[in-house]
Amino acid sequence: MSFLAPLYAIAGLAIALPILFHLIKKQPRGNKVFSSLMFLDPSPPRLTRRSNIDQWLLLILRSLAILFMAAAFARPFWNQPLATDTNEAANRRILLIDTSASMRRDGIWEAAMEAARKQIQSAGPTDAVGIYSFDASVRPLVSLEDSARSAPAARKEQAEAAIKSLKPSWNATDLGLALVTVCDAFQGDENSDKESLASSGEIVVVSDFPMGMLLDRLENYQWPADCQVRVVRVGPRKTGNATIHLQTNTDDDLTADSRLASNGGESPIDGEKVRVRITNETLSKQDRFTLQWLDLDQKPIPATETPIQVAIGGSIVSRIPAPPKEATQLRLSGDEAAFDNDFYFVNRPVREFSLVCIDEKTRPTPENLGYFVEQLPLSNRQRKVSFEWRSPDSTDPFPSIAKTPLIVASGLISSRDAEQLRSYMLNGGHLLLALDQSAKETQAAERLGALLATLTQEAPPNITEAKSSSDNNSYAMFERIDFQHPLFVSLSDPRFNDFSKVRFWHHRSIRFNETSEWQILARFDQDRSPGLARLPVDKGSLWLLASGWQPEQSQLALSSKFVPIVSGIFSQAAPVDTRQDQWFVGDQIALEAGERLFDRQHLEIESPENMMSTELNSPSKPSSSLNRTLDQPGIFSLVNGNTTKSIAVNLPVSESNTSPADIEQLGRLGVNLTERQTVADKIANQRQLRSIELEAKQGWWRWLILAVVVAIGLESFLCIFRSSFRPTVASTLNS
Amino acid sequence: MSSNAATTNTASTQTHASWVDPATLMRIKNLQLRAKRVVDGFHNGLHRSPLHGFSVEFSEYRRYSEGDDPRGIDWKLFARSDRYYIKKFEDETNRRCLLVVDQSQSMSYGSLDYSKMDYARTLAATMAYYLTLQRDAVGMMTFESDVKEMVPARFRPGQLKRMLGLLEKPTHGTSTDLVRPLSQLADLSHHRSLVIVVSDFLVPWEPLRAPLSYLRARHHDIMLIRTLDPSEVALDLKQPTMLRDLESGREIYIDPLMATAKYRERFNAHAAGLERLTGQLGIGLTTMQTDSPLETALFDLLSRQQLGKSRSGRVGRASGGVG
Repeated sequence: MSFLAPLYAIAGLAIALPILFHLIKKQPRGNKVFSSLMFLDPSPPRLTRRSNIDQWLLLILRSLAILFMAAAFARPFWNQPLATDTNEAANRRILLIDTSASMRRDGIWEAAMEAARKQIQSAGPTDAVGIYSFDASVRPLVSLEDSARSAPAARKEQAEAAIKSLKPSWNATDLGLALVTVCDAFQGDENSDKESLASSGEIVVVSDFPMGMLLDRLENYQWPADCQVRVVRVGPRKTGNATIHLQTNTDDDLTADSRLASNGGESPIDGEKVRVRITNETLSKQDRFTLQWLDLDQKPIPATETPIQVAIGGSIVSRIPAPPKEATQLRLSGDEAAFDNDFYFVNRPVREFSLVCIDEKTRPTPENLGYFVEQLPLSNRQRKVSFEWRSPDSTDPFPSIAKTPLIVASGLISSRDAEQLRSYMLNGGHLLLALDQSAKETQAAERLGALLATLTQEAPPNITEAKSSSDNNSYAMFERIDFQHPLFVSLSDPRFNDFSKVRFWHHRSIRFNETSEWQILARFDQDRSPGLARLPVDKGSLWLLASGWQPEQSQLALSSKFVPIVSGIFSQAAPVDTRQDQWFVGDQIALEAGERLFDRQHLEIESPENMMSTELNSPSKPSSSLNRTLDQPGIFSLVNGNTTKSIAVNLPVSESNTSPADIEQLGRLGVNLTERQTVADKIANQRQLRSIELEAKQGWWRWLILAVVVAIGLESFLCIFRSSFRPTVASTLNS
Repeated sequence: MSSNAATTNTASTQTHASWVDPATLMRIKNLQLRAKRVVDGFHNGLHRSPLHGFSVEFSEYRRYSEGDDPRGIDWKLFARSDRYYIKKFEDETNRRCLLVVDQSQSMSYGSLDYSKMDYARTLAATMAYYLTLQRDAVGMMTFESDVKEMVPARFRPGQLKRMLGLLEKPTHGTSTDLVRPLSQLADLSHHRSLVIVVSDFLVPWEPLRAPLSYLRARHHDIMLIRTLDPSEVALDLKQPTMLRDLESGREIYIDPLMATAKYRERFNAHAAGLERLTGQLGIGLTTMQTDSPLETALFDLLSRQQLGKSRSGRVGRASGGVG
């Protein structure tokens, strides 16, 4: 016979109360008057002798009621083996070790390893111990299945060997992802291996739990009730961390879209001053720091030190002088944690281009094509575009393709120029040809056909002047626009894809040969003839507009579509590397064909094949094997043949937020947090659970409560029965 | 002294078959009827009705001598004998009697169907009626902690009714204080009288010595009638009880096993002290339990009158008639 709550049995001592009450002479029920108390003294209540207990039956009933009640609350049960009882079921424990960059702080990694070893040692002899490490991703070092498969005696050694190989990385702390992944693994293991292991188990997270840890994944995750998480927090020897971040203009809305729209990661260097955000954490003890520019070899550039003061727990944005050209790194010194003190950036020079327009310079009027092209704002932070006129009669050689990626020409070019332009395109140049000459006359039409034939080396297409009337109501519009083409992608949004305002008063109706490779980007709605077409010519392209953009031809130049179309053609002609300059550790960079990634020591970065591809990354990971994960901060070089592009890789911003986070955050997100438990506690817990199950099965307490009710009922009946025959008070005095 | 002590007896021991049971008597609501019933019964039991034997008692003749009041000359005898004789009669002076009734709260206690107060009132009414029948001047005084009301001793029509009215007034008294009323009584009654005090005397007896001695010094004849409930004498509680004092309201817990013996001891000591005091002062003390017949009090009254007559050397006319 055992008790589930033996302390309640102490309440059985209350049986002394009815015995005492029975021994004490009953207090009178009411007052009785007496003439004078002058001959009386108060009598103290006294215990009668044991033999004076006259209500034995009542006493026994009352005592029994109390005893049964105490016994019922103590929840008695008989110890008997349960059908489902197994001998000493082993527990499962997954040790989740944080290897993020913040674990590089002074002394924190040693503490984490020590804590992990303690956790391994505290596991039971038959427990399965899984080891996982996590930062931005999760990596199983020893899975539960591995541990369960190995001999029980070797499990701890296996686990300890696994954590020896661990080193802190430079990645962010995505605790949410790690917990979700491990919990899924835990449950998967539970389903597959239910026979040998008990359902109880826990996930032990060893981490510094910084404020910057990511928990987004937990928000939509239904945490299972039987998966318990225990946190082991480790801290650095000295607290206090400050971090820097060079602000770019697009930092304020640094979303994926804005990165794309800015033609790939702006350099933070812009103008004579740069904005630096310095954040000093709450636990910091210093408030004075120094900023220093470093060159590619990480050598300090003299006379570039900037002292700065940031209040503890504060964050400021300071404008400091722009770095010298050789600077690639900004270093902060003066805080206790050095892992996030460097910020890398690419100081990329502005490329210079020129746009050549073959047109009559003597007519810089609105009737001229170049008049509108000259005014296009094609320059931006990465390129500077100048405009050049070239006469159709000029015999000067064409400028190099590198300097002039795009040439704009009307149908007036000579056949000699056409030959040169052909070779220009073959070498990679782009030609935008606007047929703004009327083809009403057969001769003119034939000339245009011959020009196209020269440029394309194909049979001349059939060109005629489209029908036009004198009244203004007759016009043509673009239709069947290929919005999938990169040229029109930016205009595909419903807000911008209205081309009905672009009216063409005159255009040429061209019928290409069926065998030609012309890519029709837009057609005229009047005759379905091509309006804008592109023909790839070896490395270059020929862009053909079957009309002109000047007002006498069409409204294209005056419309809002003109700038994106020409600018788009120019970007196609002079492609900028769309990949951003600024990257974060953990990002994956897609290498182009023939491209290779080198670090600053010019060592090629191998693809980290052993990286676990988590469920998060799997769908988004391109199938190309040329993806490289950027796993450390610094300046890297992307080398493709002769071209070299530098990229800067920095720590994730969140990782620098090292202030200790509130663990209760996890609880609020539904994670089943547990207190620290020793092995003895666990065994006691199991025993308790078993006892609870036995007790619930036997249910003795119900019978005991029933006995209490019966005893109280009998007692009440007896009391009522006796009190109805009790002599009255008056008769007591009379007698 | 010894004769005084002999007058003190316990009336409850005297019983007579013809006497009225107090419990039955108390059922009569009218106080005068009650008194009349007792007195009638008392006379029936002893002798014929006093109403038929009432006459002026002739004592003796003596020769007239100078200085005698000529009003006393028996002129008829002078006509027959031509001599002056003075006809002497018995003393015609009526006795003055004052009934003093305690109306404090302690008197309202009673374990029977009636309280000590009912009993004392009936007793006082009986005596008043009896004495009125004897043509005595009877007065009455009620007191609680102080003299409450007083009807001076007179013999006149309506006197009995006034006294009965006084007795029937409701009481509001709280505590008993015998010392002050007795002292005031001494000041109020200048003629020597028979003072009958009806009370339970549940007060310390020692302080009573002074006022009683003062009354005695004023030549009052004093008779104390002590009315007690039977349960007060015995205190036979069956079980522990919380007792509340009627006068002070004080409550004490009483376990009869522990308290009864001591109570009786103290009660008897108090009774003995009271007896000793009355014996020393020559005061009659009669203790009457409320279950004893009221007629016994009349016996005591008679014997007290006899004693007074013998002490004063005069023969009571009424008693002589009776005898």
